[in-house]
Amino acid sequence: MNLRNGIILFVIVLAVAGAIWAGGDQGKTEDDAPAVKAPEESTAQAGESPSSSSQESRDVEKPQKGFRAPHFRLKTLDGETVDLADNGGKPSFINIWASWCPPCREEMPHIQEAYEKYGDRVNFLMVNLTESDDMDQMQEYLASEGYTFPVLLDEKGEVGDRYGVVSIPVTFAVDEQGVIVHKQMGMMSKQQIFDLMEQLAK
Amino acid sequence: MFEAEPIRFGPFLLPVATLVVAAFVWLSAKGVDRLLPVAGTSWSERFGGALLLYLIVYEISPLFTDPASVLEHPSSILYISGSPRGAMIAAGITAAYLVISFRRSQIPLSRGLDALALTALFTGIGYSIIFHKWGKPTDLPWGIIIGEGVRVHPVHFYRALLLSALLYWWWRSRNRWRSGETFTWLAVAGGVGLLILSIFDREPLKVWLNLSRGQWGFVVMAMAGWLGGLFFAKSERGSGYEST
Repeated sequence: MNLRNGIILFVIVLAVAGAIWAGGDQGKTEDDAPAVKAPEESTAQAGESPSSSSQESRDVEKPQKGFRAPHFRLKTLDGETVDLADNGGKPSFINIWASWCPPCREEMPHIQEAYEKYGDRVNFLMVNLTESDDMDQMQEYLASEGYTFPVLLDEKGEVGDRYGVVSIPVTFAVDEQGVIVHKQMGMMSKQQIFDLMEQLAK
Repeated sequence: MFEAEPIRFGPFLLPVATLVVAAFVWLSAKGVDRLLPVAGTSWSERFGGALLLYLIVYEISPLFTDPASVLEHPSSILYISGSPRGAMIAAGITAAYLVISFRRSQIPLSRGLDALALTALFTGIGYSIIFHKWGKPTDLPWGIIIGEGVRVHPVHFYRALLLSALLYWWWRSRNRWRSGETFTWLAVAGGVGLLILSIFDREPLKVWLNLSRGQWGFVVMAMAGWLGGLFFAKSERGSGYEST
């Protein structure tokens, strides 16, 4: 290896070390950031004078990887109210589905299996597009298959709108800070779901 | 500028980003046909085929790691979508296809990789111009406001600038560089440059050592260029290109 190749290798190693250091530094910032905020809280902070740290913690809601997951508060089939912000310090698995959607039904058994294994470490938020679904058929389907995960009812289609849903199923993995770490359009296989769970739960 | 998200077209869902990449690969390779010609070879056909292979393997990749899933629910083959692991499998198979195809056509590996690097460079510039990629929040004046008055780094703009600078460098050096050096320098400089730019990007899911999958991809790219430099310097010294 001549001097030129040695210098190139040194530059690559330096860049990798810098990126690892920057990644660790970013981790600290995210740890200090507050959990998911309700829209009204975000709006109030937007009026404050900008500074680097406040902007870092305020962040932006967008249904895209790396952005804060758009806030929602929905009722479940059991009548309880679930708020995305009240995550109990755990990551969340948001799956948007409908009972008439074949690929949604295909992935449901794997999600149920994942719920049984990871339900204590990950919040499962199965958002049903109730606005375009038949409530009775949906409940009948869940009962017949024996699914026990929490089903949230998007009766006005607001979650569908906020998350820019153009097709289902679509899945968002959200970390404990409320940041979307993975977005999957289309059906996920069992392996994909369990790989994602391992990443979320570690 | 557009979002790299599928759009609904009647009952269909158009994967716009994939279609744009496919178009750019074909157009870029057409340009490379003229810039780095090799007798009897059409880079546009070769790389177009490779891209198609990649997309097919990527889409069906869950079958490789989780065949039982499809055996239990055969209709899921119609709906299943690729995964990050599938992307790596597809990249490996596509790379093998390209190496075999170069060998069959008796194209030196160095020339094939040069054409590939230049095609990727053109595609990267085009993609970065068309699709925006927002980075972390910033107070810098060139940050772009995307909502609630928050400025973010325009990562797509940084990438377009970096890749355009690399293209300018290549253009100035193309008659001086030997076979294989286009790949070596573009992969090293592109990999290191994109890795540095990724510091401004939002990649929250770290897979290893605080780096995301994409960042490791840039590291692999830079190392591939470095290793290519070592290999080609030994095996193909002196095999330069004719001026174009």
